[in-house]
Formats: sequence, C-alpha cells, structure tokens
Amino acid sequence: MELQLTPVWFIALPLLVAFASPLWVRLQLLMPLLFAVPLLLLVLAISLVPVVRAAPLLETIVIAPPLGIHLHLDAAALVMLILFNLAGALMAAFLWLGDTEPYLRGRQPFILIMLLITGCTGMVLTGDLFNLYVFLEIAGVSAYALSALRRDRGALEAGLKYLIIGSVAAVFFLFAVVLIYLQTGQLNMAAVASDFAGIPAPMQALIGLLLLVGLGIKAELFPFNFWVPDIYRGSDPATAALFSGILVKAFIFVLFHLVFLLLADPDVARAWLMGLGALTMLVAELVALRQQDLRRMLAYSSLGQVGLIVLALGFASEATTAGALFHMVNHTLVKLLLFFVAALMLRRVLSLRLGDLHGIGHRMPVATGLFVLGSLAVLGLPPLSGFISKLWILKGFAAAQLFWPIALILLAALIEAAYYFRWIKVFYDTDPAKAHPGIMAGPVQGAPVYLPLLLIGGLLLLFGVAPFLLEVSFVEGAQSLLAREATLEQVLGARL
Amino acid sequence: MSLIVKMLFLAVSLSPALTLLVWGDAVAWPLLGGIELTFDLNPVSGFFMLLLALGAPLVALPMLRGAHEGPAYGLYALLLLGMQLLLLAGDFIGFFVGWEIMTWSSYLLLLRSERSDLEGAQSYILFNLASAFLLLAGILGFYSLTGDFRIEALASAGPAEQLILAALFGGAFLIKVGTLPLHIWVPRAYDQAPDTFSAFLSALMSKMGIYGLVLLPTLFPQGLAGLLGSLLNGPAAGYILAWIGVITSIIATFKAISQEDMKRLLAYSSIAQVGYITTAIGVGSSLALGGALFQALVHTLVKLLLFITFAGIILQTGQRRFNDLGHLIDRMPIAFFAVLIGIIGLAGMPPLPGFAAKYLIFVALIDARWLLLLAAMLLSSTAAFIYCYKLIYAPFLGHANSPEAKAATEAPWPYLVPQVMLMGLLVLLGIFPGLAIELVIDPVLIGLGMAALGAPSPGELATAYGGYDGVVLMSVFGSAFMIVTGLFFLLRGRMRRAGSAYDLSFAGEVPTAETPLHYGAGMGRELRRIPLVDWILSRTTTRFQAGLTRQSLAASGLLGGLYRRDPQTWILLAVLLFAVALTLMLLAGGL
Repeated sequence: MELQLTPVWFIALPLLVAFASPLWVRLQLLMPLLFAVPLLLLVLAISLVPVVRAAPLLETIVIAPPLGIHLHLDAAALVMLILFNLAGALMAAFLWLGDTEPYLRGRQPFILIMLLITGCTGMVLTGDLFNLYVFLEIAGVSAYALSALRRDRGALEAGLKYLIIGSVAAVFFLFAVVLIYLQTGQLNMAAVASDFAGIPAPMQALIGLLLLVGLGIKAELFPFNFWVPDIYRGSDPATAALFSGILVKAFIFVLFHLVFLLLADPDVARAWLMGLGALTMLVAELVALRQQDLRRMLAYSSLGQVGLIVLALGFASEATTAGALFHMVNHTLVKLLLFFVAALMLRRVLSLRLGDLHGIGHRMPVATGLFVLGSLAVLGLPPLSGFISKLWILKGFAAAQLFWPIALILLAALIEAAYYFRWIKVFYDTDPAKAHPGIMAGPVQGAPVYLPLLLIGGLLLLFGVAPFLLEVSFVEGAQSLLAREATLEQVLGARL
Repeated sequence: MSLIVKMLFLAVSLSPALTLLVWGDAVAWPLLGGIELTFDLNPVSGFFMLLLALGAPLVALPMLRGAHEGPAYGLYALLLLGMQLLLLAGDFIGFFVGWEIMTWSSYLLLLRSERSDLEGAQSYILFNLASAFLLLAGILGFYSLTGDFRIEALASAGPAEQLILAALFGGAFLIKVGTLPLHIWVPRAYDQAPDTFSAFLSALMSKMGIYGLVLLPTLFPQGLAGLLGSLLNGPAAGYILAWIGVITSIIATFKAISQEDMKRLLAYSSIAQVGYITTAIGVGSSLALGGALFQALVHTLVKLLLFITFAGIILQTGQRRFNDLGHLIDRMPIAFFAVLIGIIGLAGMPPLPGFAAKYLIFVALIDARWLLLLAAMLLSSTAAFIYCYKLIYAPFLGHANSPEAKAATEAPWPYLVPQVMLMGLLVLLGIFPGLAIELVIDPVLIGLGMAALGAPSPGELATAYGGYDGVVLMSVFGSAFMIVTGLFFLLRGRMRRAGSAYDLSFAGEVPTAETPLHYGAGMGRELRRIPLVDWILSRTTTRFQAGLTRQSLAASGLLGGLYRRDPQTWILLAVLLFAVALTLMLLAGGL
C-alpha cells in the first residue's frame, strides 16, 4: 500500500520498461507495452485522484544534500499526468493499429517515446530545479532523436535544428539554475521560492529573463518560436502530435509552475506573460493564413493555441487558470486528432500540400470528417469541448472586467476560422478538375487505425456536452497551482 | 435500408412541430462553473418555432428525392437541433450554442453543393462567425454587468454600457439578417447552396436573426428608447434601425431587379423583405411588431414556396438564368401558379396575406408619424413589383430559349407537395388574416408585454386606421379571376387566330423559332439611366472585402518572413532580445 501511493512509479515504470527493451523485442511485446504502460499509469493516476484531493503526495529521495529527488504530486500535476499518459496511450494505439512506417515501430521509437513521456512527467512532478533540468534534457534529447527518426534529408535537418535550438534553450535555463543556486544555495523549488525575495532586484530580473528566454523557446512563445514550424514540418506527423500534445504542455506547465512559485506577487510577470501570450496567438494565427502545407498550418495553429493558454494562465485568476488547464487538455486531444489525420492522409496521398488534397473528403470520408470535428473543437465551436474551455477563460476575463483579451481571443478565433475552413473547403472540393489523379498512391488504411481517432472525437464531444464531469479536477488544479503559500508550507513543513 | 433512413429523416424534420406540440416543463442542464443551460418554450420563441415546424418538413421533402445522402441528412438534423436549442434557450449560453451549431452545420451543408466556391463558402462562414463572435462579446459584456447569463432585462447599466451592448448584439443580428453593407454573404450563399437548402436559408435561418432583433429591446430596461434618447417622438435607436432596414430594402430591391440569375434575384428580394421586418422592429410599437411578425410569417411561406418552385425548375431544366428559360406555363402549370401566388404574396398585393403584413407596417409608420420612412418604404415596395414581374414573366411566358426549357416537364412530387401546401396556406392566411393575428401574433405581443392587436372576426384585419375583410376581398378577387379565366377559355379559339407566337416583327425582321427572343432579357439595364439607382447598382462592398482579405494576407506574409529557416537567426534573435530586454530592465531599474 505504501509502495502504491508514491508518485515515483510514474517515472520509474516507463524508465524500467524502456531500458528492458531488448527483452520486449525478443518477446515481440514492443507495441503492446508501448500502449499498456501509459494505460496502466493512466489508471493509476485516475485512481490517485481522491488521494491527491485530500493532500498532495510528496516523495523525497535524498542523494547528498542539497542534491536529491523531490517529487510533488498535487492536483495540477495530476491533471497533467493523466493528460500525458492518456495522450501516450492514444499515440501508442495509433502506431500499433495502423500500418505505421517501420521507423516508428522498432526499438528506437519505443525507447524514445517512453523517455519523452518520462521526461515530461518528471518535469511536471519534480520539486527541485536540478532534476527539472535533468528531465528537461531527457525530454529534449528524446524529442530531437524522434524528429530525426525517418533518416531522410528533411527529418535529419529538423532533428539537427531541434538539437541546436533546444540546447540553446537548455543553456539559458541552466544559467538561471546556476545563478539561483549561487544566490540562495538551494535547489529545492519551495526553498528557493521562500528565499527568492531576498535576492537583489537586478539579479532577480536577470534570472527571470534567463528563465523566460529558456522556457520561452521550449514553450514556443513568440518571439522565441521561429523554430517550431520547421521542426513540425520535418518530423513525422505522429511525432509532431507528441510535440504539440505533450512536450509543449509540459514546458508551459513548468514555466507557470516556476512563475507562480517563485514570485510572491504574480503581477510582476503578469504583463510580460499576457503580452507574450497575446502576441504569440495573433502572430501565429495570422501567419497560418498563408500556409500551404498541412503540417505547417497545424504547427502555427498549435502556436496560436499555446498563446491563448499562456494569455489565460498569465492572468492567474482562478477561472482563467482552470479554463487554461482545460484548454490544455482539449488542445492536446485536438492536436493528436488532427496530426493523426494528417498522418493518415500522408500515407494515402504521399503529400500534405493544399493543392494535392483537393477533394480528399470524398475518398477518405471518415478521416476528413474527424478533421472537421477537430477543427470545430480547436476553433471553440459548441457543442465540442474547445468551446467550454474557451468560454471558461473568456468568462474569467469578463468577470474581472478585462476586455482586451476577450477581443483579441475572438479576433484570433476568427482568423483561425478563416484558414481552417479554407482547408475544409478544399478537402470537400467537388471540382474533379482540381483533384490530382495520380496522387492517391498510398495504400488504403484499415479500419482499426480509426479507433483511437474516434475515441478522441468521442471525448471531445463528451467533454463539450458534460464538462461538469471534469470541473472539480481543473478547479482544484488551478487552486493548487496558484496556492503558493500552501505549497511552500507543505513542502518545507514536510522536510522539517 | 435507404427507405428506412429516409423515413427516419422525415421524422426528424417533424421534430420542431413535435417540440411545439408536446413541450412540457423547463429543462435545465448544468454546464460548469455555475453556468446552467435552461430550455423552455415561451410565446416569442414559440412563434419562431412555429415557422421552423412549418418549414423544416417542407424543405426535407424535396431533399429526400434521389439517392440517399447520409451526411446531408445528419447535418440537416443537427441544424434543426441547433435552431431548436437556440429558440428554447432561456440563457445566453444555450442561445449561443444553438446559434453556433446552426452556423457550422449549415456551412457544411452548403459545401455539399457543386456550385459552392471558395469565396462564397468563406464569406458565408466568416460573416456568420463574425456575427457569432460579436454575439459572444455582447454576452460576455452582459455577464460582466450582471454576473449571470440568463436572458432578461439588465437591472442596472450606464448608458454607455447599454449602447455598447446594443451595438454588439445588434451587429450580430444584423449580419445574420443580411443588412447592408453586411449582406455580401447572402446572395452568394443563397445562390451557391443546394437548391432546396436555399429555401431553408432564406425562409428560416434569416428569421433567427429576426428573433434576436425582437429580443434585443427586452434586454434593456427602457427598451430601445433608453439607448440614444428620443427623436421625432420615438426612440432614436429605433429610428436608426428603421432607416437601416429601409435603406437595405431599397438597395436590395434595385439589386434584385438587375439580377440575371433566378436564385440571386430571390436572394436580394429576401434581403429586401427582411429589411421591412427590421424597419418594423425599429418602429417598435405593438402595431409595428405585429406587422413585423406577420411579415416574418408571410415571408417564410413565400420564400419557401418560391425557392422550392425554382429548385424544381432548375432540377427539370438545368437552367438558372432567366434568359435561358421561357414558356414554361404550358409545361409546368403548377409551378406557374406557385410563382403567381408567391409573387402576389411577395409584392404585398391583396388578397394574399403579404398585403396584411405591409398594411400593418405602413399603418404603424403613419401612427409613429415617421412619414419620410413611409415614403422610402413605399418606393421600395413599389419597385419590388418590377422584379416580381420578372419572376413570373421570364421563366413562364415568352419564348423558350433553351432546348431544356422546350422539353421540361412538371417537377417530381416531392417538390409539388410543398408547393401545393404552401399555396393553400397562403390563400388561407389571405382569407383569415384576423385568425392569424389572434392565434399566432397576439400571444407573442402579450409575451413581450405589449398591447394585443386583436381581431373582430377571423376574416377581418382591424387597426385604428381602418382594416379590411379578408373573406370579402378574397371573394372579389377570386370571382374576378374566375371571370377573366373563364372569358379567356371561352375566347380561346378566336384568340388562336391571331397567328403564331412569332408573328411579330420590327425593323423588317421576322424572328424564327431559333431566334432567342426574351422579353425579360436585359430588364433592369435601363434602371442605370436613373442617376441615384445607377449609383446604387455600381457600388459594391465586394472590393472592400477583397481589400481586407488582401491586407490580412499581406500581414500574414510579412509576419511569416519572421519564421526563417536557419537556426542561427533563431538564436541570434533570442540572444539579442534577451540582451535588449535586460538592458531595458536594468536601465528602468536605475542600475
């Protein structure tokens, strides 16, 4: 019983399974395990909901003070854990059930996907800065390798570029960690947080900026997100789904976790984060208007949603934070769905350019129908769940009498509609003259591969019609994310 | 299998009628964060539900013809669901949910037409979403004032706040009803939609905007009067709204006259007719609102009739332009009568109920002493005769101008049944205008807290300025029609002796059967000689919208230039921005 309740399992299990991969190859259990491990952890995470509701789970493994592994599972982290493992299971099911490209089925992708999920889980769970850096690198390195898996020119270029920019981001972050350690002598986040106010103001600004640039690059904030479309375009769509669905969410979470924890007064960062979020959203949506490649379009749309989430989290009221957590979940589901559809179309048409996809809706009706469903959800149209989360965020702003974010969010949604509906119109084009005759070169996909997609579609509809099922989780997540004092007391109290 | 699906679909199309008949208590659905959706039927929404209940099965019937199309049926069912949610909603969130389901499901239905192009589809969805987002902004503004989403009068709000809310809501609903200059999506959509679905768009979906406009005054404590003060013994905001409606109807009428395509003409005529309703809502008295509701009812019936009839003609001939048709009166007599009844209703001529509706609106304008508006409205409703004439003359009389028009036969029964039913309904309403007022309109007026119009007898329409008896009127017109038709048939033999239809000549040329000869051709071209009308017809907002598109694409390209492909630029930018921000912060910090 004692063993069951520790959050270590969320990191240890995938790591163990990943390192034992030669065994799984021999037993031919790779794909089943890739699916089963996140599913098991998902079940574990859901079963922990009542426990965490009572009190956050803390776990400290001391190596040599001040170095140690400190894990902190509160309501917000639990939401992210459930999300990551759900996304991992869906991703595995998609790879398992379809006739996936061989480079996504072997031992390497197995290890890398496991490590990516572990890294993201670790970043969310960890309570000290050094481990945060370690997990950040684990997630980063597996992401670089994942994007280069295809081993053709585009994929290798994307992998290399990702490695370069990712390392720069990590350096910025590491500098910040070093400076914090020099100033406070602490690496535990709660301890750092209680000492942070004592650091001289210029040093605080420097650390803040280093963190902002480092995590801004990773969390895809404008003006540090110029790398995103290139990487998403070069990677396999299914991999891009992981980046957009899990990786970015983990970094956004880390960014705000640090902001809310370190700063006693969130007003300092509020203007910066809300401004960056709004800029990210508007710029990305505008640039997406002209995109001719589905992966690039989805990448910019992903940036736009990240901007919205940052804008909402940056405001740091309970309603907008809860809405933003909900929106993260929705966006992960939607982007998984859209990138999976893109992967299916790529396998069938061998191209994702707008001009080559004319009339595809008549040949792949289910996939295109799911794309429409996902588009409606990402645009925030009822009765899908995207509407509810957007409404929650907008309601939070309206209740605070702050109207400029409402105007910007609605404007961005309108621009977003302009390009999503343009793609939908092209998909359902009835003009046979525009359809490329020889382009349908790939094989027809079997029915089972649609199962995870249909499940996502069902979840989007369910959360849209009955959002009250999840409401408590998000509200508690938002409260635990914003409750700085309580967290400090729990952690520091527990250490004493 | 396909028959079962079709029967099921027909059953779904009857769902609004079922809702209207058996709706019981209010239903509540908790959403989250204290938002609870409530659904209930009240007299105002009941009126619009009645329109939907009438129209939905009549449009569904022609849709059933031919191969079964599962997706189209599903989307139509969703559309009906959305509209019912919208009408039943007792709170703004439910209203918005219904509004949006209606928007996207109708867009996806529109895409199923082979004629829809990128421009038309994009303008449809973007205008409608702009309308929806204005609505949402208004709803959030409302929420920020009241802390509640229920649709009810604002308890306390400053004049500026009321005005902003009215502008947001009004903008949303005016886009939906296709008011100028926000109408550009209407003719494109009605033109490009599947032919029977155009009937739904024009007859029923535009009425949802009207529903919103009717609700609008009830949101403010003093109605429209509280917004901008009063002008000419009436609310200034209402005066502006009325002028918006009248200008819309004048311009749309002239645009309609100059159209060469049947469905585009009907689309502009629809904009003009809904413009009258907007005007009447602007006047805001119970007489005017009665007229507005009556006009909404008549317009729904008439546009269903006309669009379904023309869909039948397009189905049978494959032609959509007036110049390619002609002489269908012998081949499609039922369609001829349908259009005849339709245009009489459209033009608002006695004895059909269009007259009653216009009469109420005119009387309301006289009652409000807004005589300039009355004159403008008379101008537009007189000019409407010209396009009505074109609607009957061009397809049915004159010479057949295409091989298809020479060989056409009457439309199949799924088109004819709605036509006959609608004709019957229009004639009945013409005979019993008082009944319609008692049964349909007065409950709405009472529900809105206004004086009921009342009617002394089912056949009579009565106002303080006089009225008329529908039974008498219909008997007179009916007997006159009978006598003329009888005389025509009696003298038929002798009239034939006049010669062939080609027995006319001018400038020494005698046309043959091959010569395209169409009296309606080029009709409306002469209008351009009139200075003001020429100015109206040559203006279009297409260019403004094309410019807007171009500008956003240019901005997109400009910003897209930031997303360069080389990592060194990314790093350089990140480091530079870091340095600049640090410098600025340190300078601002005084260190």
